[in-house]
Amino acid sequence: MAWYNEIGNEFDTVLSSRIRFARNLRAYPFEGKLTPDGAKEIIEKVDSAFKGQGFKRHDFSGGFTTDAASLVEKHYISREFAAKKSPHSLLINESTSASVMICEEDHIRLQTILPGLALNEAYDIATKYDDIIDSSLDIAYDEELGYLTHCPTNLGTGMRASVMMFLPALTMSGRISSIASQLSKIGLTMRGMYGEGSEGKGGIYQISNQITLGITEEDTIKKLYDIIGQINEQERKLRSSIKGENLERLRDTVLRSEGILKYAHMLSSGEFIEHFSNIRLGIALGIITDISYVTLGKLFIETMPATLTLSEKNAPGTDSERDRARAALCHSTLGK
Amino acid sequence: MLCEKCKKNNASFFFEENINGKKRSLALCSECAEEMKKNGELNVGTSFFDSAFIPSSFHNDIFGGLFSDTNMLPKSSGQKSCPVCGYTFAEFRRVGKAGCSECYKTFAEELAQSIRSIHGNAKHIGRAPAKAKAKNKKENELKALRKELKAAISDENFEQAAILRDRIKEIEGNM
Repeated sequence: MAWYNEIGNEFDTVLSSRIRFARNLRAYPFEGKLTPDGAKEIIEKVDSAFKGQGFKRHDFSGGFTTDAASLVEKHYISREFAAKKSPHSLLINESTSASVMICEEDHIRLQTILPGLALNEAYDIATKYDDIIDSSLDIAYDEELGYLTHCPTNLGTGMRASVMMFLPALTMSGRISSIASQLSKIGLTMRGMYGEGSEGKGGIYQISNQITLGITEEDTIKKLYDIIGQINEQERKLRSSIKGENLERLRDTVLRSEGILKYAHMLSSGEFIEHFSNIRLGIALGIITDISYVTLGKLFIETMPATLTLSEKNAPGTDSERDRARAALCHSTLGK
Repeated sequence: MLCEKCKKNNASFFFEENINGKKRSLALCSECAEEMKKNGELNVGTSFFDSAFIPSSFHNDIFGGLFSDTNMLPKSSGQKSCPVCGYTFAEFRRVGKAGCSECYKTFAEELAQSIRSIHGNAKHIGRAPAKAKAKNKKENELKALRKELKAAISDENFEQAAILRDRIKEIEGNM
């Protein structure tokens, strides 16, 4: 089952956990120096390494499509990968917990994603598939620099461990920016929902490691667990400090958001995220009891522009049509 | 700006010398600069590529301070390109990314500082391909055996030393 259809650990503050390994084939140059024929050869080699592992292959070329955009929305591929014009392919397993981007910035970007706080579990799955890569392909590696990657920022483990967090109270209180600057001092980084350059909409942030050389995978993950534990504590403390008149106001905001998602006729994606965030906080505080995290989380992905367009029989062509389709989906899911 | 000598190529070297208050400045392309140096027309001796020559690209390169410019390095290094993908260090620096995995070996010296500035510590620890792990294990074993061998010799335990020597040879032969 997809990560957004399941409940996970620490779900009041953590949406999902991801592990990504960057690997490259020694015999081929990196993106930029790689010919389309070379890319096709790499795709075939990686594909055959994963034969029998239950992965489905999607081939792409020629730039952005709605299908690719929907995969970006679900966090299975990167925006850069979706926009690439040269040959590139995705392998994804049935449960969608593991996927392999072939010929992204690196030849291989292996990713695992699980709901809630589950970095250790995601890491275990990733290493299992990394062993398969290692046993069947000659991977570029150096004793000193570790796994050799296109960009020097990924040298070493080539691993990016990231956790998508839901921090509305820290956002509202304005403390989030000081957390972001503290993280950067210890080799971690905080970004918006879709990585580099995206804002922290709806109180959703990605926290990940920046340093990949001179630290083991296990220590990197341990450091993230430690920090996330501290951030969780702060977020929860702030949430429970909302009392009296403030709590009444928050209750009003949450219930108004519920009303809008249930009964609006048109909803933009920005508006959806705002109300999503209020309702999710409402569930965490026990203000809302008839909507589950999973129902709301599913809606979060299904109302995104490309995913919504693909799910409609008559694909909405204009923004206005899409906003109506989004509102209709929210109504049919929540408004019963 | 065109080379003042051939007036065909773009000038990439700006030479200034000051001999007893007499100033001379020249803008040259790399070929003409090389030729003039060979013919002894530039009285710069071994310092040909030192700071008297400032490549034109240096001034508008924001990374100028971070990376040493290839043109500023000794000729053997300045002309260095990756034997596998053909990248020069200037290209690496412009793109900020390697052309192929071999680039990291080719430009190891030039990159050391910037890798340290990204990651701090510059030695990998963590997962490794099985092949590299096996090699590492053998190397560690050899290290230990050599130490034992040394001890055996100093103890004049030559029988044990011979056994250790054969074992070392056997491992080396397998690597």
